[in-house]
Amino acid sequence: MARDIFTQNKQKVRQMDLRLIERYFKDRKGDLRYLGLPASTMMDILLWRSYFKHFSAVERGRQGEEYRYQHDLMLTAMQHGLADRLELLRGDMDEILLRGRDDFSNSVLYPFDVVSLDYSGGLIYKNSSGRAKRAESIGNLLREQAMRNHNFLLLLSCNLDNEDQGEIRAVFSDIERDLGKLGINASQTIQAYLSHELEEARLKVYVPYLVGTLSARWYQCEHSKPIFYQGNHDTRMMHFSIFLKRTAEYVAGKPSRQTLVHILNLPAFHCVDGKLQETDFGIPEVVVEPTSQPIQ
Amino acid sequence: MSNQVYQPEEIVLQREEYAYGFIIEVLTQGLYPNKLHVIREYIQNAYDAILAWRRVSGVSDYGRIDTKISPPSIFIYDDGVGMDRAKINQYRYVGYSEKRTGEGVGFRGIGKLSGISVAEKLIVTSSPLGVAERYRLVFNANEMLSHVLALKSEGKNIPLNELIQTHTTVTTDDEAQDRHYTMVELYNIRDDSKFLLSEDELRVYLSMNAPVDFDPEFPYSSTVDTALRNYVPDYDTAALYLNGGRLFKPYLEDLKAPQMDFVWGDGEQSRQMDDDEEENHPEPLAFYWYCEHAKKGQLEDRLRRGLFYRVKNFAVGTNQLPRIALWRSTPERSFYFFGEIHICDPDIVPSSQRDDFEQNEARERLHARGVQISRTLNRIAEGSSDQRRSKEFILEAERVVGDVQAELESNQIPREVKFDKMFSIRTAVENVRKRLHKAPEGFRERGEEIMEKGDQLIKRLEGAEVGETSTGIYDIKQTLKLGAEASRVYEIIVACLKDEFSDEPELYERLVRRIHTALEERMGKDEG
Repeated sequence: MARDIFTQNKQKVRQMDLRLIERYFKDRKGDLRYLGLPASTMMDILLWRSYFKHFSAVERGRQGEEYRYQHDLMLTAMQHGLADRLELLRGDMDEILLRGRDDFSNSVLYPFDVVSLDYSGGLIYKNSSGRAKRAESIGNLLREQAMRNHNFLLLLSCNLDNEDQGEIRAVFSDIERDLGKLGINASQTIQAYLSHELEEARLKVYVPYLVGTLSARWYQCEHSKPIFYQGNHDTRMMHFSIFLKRTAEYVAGKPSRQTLVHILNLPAFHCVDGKLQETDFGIPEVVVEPTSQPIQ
Repeated sequence: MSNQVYQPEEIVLQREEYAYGFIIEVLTQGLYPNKLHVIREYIQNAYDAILAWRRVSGVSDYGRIDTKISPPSIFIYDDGVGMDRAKINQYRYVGYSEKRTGEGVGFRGIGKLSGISVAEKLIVTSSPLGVAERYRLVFNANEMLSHVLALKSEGKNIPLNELIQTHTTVTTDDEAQDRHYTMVELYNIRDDSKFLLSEDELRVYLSMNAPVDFDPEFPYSSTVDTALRNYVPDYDTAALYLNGGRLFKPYLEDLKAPQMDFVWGDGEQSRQMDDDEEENHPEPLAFYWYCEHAKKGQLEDRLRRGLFYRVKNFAVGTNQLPRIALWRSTPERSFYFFGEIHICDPDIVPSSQRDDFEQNEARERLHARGVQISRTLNRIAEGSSDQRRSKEFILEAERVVGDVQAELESNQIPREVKFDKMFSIRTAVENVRKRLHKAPEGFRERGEEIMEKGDQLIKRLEGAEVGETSTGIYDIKQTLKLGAEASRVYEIIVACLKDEFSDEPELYERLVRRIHTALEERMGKDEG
């Protein structure tokens, strides 16, 4: 059977995202534009459809028979009367974001209000030449959105299947150093993260930091609590929701002190059997002393 | 892919094959010079599936067809009866169709594969009601045609069966039991057919060719639709959408109210439009309706003016087909009208290309009896032309009489042109008199009135003393204080000029004015 199966955990995640869409766009119901990876069952689109007037849905398909899932996606859209609102983009999401068009030269029609990057794989990987294509593609997305001065909600799901070649540890070192420059001692928290047995704990910090860094030139990020859950085929998944608010442009933008501390201290949800439980992974919070002053 | 290739002599030894691979190339590539007809084929199948569902469900206005252009593909989706596993398998059979002539729109079993002539793949997914499965056929057209052409370059052949089996797959997936639909994807439209991805092209083509409803903006949509549903046995419509926009049959502006009638076969008794006892009459050959252009001449829209043949509400040919087949004289008059000829006789069958009908006795009968359409329309056009001319003459007479009357009342008619004015009135009145019986309603009284007015004005002019006391220009003898002899010379010259220029009164008048001006200048100067 070619159809995707989603767990009730995933459905819970979508419901949480719907709440965010309602919160950020309550005045624009029916007028939003979506870019994402809805898979052929389009479960997220079906749940959120009343908020959107346009869907740019990316489907790569399985190698050698790419057309199958793409055909299925359009079939789902037809069955639910959504085909007129759907633009099917064929190809790999990273490539499409980097090139600005799909495998058949269909352009990505920026801007979007909700971007749902529901990756089936991990977020961190580099190709043989050391190129981090996924991060680059997200950077491109942010730049294109920023060029149009557009606030948007970025929804990002990935599994823990990453090819981390020391990048996560480097990020934590950067955070520790940056906070140190700002007069904040976060070493105890950082060490707790680095020695934590669950990869989710580190990704909980890494992904928001990555997005924050990529977007800092143009956007201010509002991070919601990430959710980790068991996906289909028992895959461990993490989901991030970040609202990006357009700010003045800074050539050398960086996540702010508040953002870094917020990312480190932000608890997560663990979703089990469709129910959410908040967790801090047992990691001590960074304490910001009132006397802590940023170094000018 | 099987590499086994048969030489004809080997096949005789094994099993006789009667069809070979190259026929696919011929049937599909050569079937439609106009690639837009390929899309129509799938719309036809979708329409048939919806009609079948209507028969099953009893819901007469059920169903919609969605056409979506999503480059590089075109999708056609219907929520009709759907296909079960056996039917999906049969989809691969070339020239196989279980539709009987007259049942559904397509019936040859060839058009369903026409997509392989424009696309890299033909993908058909379908699910019938009550079966929790959906079936998918993938026809790898590019691979198949390449295979055939490669073999041909070596002078080899492959049996059709083997070719199709090699390049098609049928798979099964789960589906909700209550779903019934078919979706066709023409995947990756080829470069030579890329224009099919133009929404504008497709919109114009489908709105004119598919069995869609009349545009609600068309003032006579309801009248015509009701008549067609009453009098055309297979007439029906379906909601067809292109990229989310509903398509309607186009209509033209400035049309008179529709007229309609039947075309009967030889010796058949005419059924009247208001005759309810239809079982007493044979089926007509056709039913036609038309709206005449309310203005002068042909309708402007070259694509949509004229009459169009339709079979089961699908168009056959263009507006040139009835014009050429039915108009023996003055064919330009067919474009004074906008309308349709719906074929009712099931023996009149569209050709595969649907640009004409198959040549058979029924078609000849249609052509022979259909001449009544052109006769009727020509007569109407002629009548309208007469009415229009008659109206124009009345209006002209009103203008001439009005002008002369005004001039007379303000004493502006020179004596020298009195007879010309009378002549103009006589001509205008005579023109009205000749064509008054052809004048449209409301204009006859005006015509009679202006004739009477004209006659009275002529009488007034005959008895009137005109020119003597006008502006002074014409009373030149008095102005210049000419003596009796000079006045006599002047009158002789003017009389000669009038005689000479009797056919050109304006020139005559100009000359007299010029003489007057010259006399005034010279004689005034002499006096000074």
